[in-house]
Amino acid sequence: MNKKLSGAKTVLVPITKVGKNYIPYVEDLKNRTIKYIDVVFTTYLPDTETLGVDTYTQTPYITLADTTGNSYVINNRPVYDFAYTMNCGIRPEVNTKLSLQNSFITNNDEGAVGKCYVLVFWYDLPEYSARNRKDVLITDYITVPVKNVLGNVLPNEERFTGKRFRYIWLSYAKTTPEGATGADQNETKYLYLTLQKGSYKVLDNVPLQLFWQLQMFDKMEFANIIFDMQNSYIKVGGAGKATPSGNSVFLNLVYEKE
Amino acid sequence: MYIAKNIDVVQFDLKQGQTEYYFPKNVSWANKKVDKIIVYDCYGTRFSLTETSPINGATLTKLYLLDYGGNTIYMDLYDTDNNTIVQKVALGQISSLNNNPLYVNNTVSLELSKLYFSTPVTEDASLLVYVFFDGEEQEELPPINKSITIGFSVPAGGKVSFQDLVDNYITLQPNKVKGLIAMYMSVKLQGGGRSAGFITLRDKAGKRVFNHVPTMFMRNNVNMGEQFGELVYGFTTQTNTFRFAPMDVDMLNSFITNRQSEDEQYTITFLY
Repeated sequence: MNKKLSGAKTVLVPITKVGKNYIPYVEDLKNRTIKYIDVVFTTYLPDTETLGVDTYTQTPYITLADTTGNSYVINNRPVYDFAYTMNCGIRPEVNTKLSLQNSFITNNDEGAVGKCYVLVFWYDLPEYSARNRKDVLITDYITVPVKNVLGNVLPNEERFTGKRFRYIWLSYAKTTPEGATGADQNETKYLYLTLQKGSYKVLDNVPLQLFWQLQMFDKMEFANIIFDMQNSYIKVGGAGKATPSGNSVFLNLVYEKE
Repeated sequence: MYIAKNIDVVQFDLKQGQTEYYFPKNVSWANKKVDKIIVYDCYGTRFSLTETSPINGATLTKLYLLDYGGNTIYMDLYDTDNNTIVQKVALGQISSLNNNPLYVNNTVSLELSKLYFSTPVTEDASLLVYVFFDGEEQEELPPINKSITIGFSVPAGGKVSFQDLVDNYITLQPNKVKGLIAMYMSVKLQGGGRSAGFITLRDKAGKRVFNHVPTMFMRNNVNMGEQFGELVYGFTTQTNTFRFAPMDVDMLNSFITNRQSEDEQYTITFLY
């Protein structure tokens, strides 16, 4: 399977009981081949005051159904197998079109009831990605001050226009090159990145902590994805429960040299 | 797959109050195609031990601790036409702990390229930057036909020639070394496996450069182990065996140095 990433969408799975909790249907993921799923344990979630499952006392399991709805391509696998940051960056392959509404998380923890799991679905998005065309890459950077809950827009600088991106690396810089205080690991846990091309969300609310890849075996390599800086942004989870720090997120971006 | 041909090292001597450090001008890779760059972080070896430079004995800084201590360090690279090829890459991303080399694939301007500290260091230390150049991509690795493994100790701060360790029979063969695997452990602690040495290989033809390469680059697994009853998590170093273009190694003038403050025991496998 081609490991390169292109599209991603974060889905919140409400946990309403001990037992099976079905994944909500998501129109954007219909007929998409899901390559990987990341589970992220965190407290503050995008666009909701509902809290996230940030730990558990009884092992949860995930079952994923294919589009027939009757066959389980992944059956009762421990959820933590899909926790990218906890598994040294190793992602189990899914590589299937899924029936989300027939897929579920089996919750065995009373403490998780009333909360949500954060699942990130990675899928092939040929409309906004491409094959490698160049061997020479440019390594660049951006800093994004996180001053608001919503709409902390990426810097719209001309040198990024039309670029095809292969890597996005998050660093917990204490001080940015501009001298601003950097966002640390604790702050970043509640931040979500959306990269948008026009009106389409290429990466939709992806937890920013996934881009901190130091010591991960499998670094995330993107299939030369395209997006607009001015339409892309970072938001703070918790719908107001987490206060924006005003500190700056530091990202290195690697793209093909024209 | 990338096949290294030459690896050289640049030492930056960090001074209190100084925020910019330019690359030196007289390097072996001037006007040559730089393939990739890795910054050596000796924090990945024994956390508490001091490690010194194999070049001049200067104390090496633990980049990981420096970074978390507030001294965020960035690298800028320009090509020889003065175009930007790297702008403010955080050094932690391209450190030896991260298994994520900075791919350059270009000649580099030594006049403009530099390290930049957002906050200057508070005490003098040194940093090693490794430059891989003139290598090539191959679809398949050259086959490995045989190997020889040697086990030996090197005292703290000591240096041992491979001629002293490798059987004469092997030395006399046209020994086209294609790779190295290094394992090591503290003689004292009998565990941990993350102590480092630096290997220099001299090419009989005198055309290749392989200077003071950390044995950390030659591990091919994640190191995890227990030390003093505490689970010590290791760091990824390489996910592939360390391979390079076949070299006719002059064993007499090739050596390993132990720059830590304790005796170390090494097991080195030469791949032919």
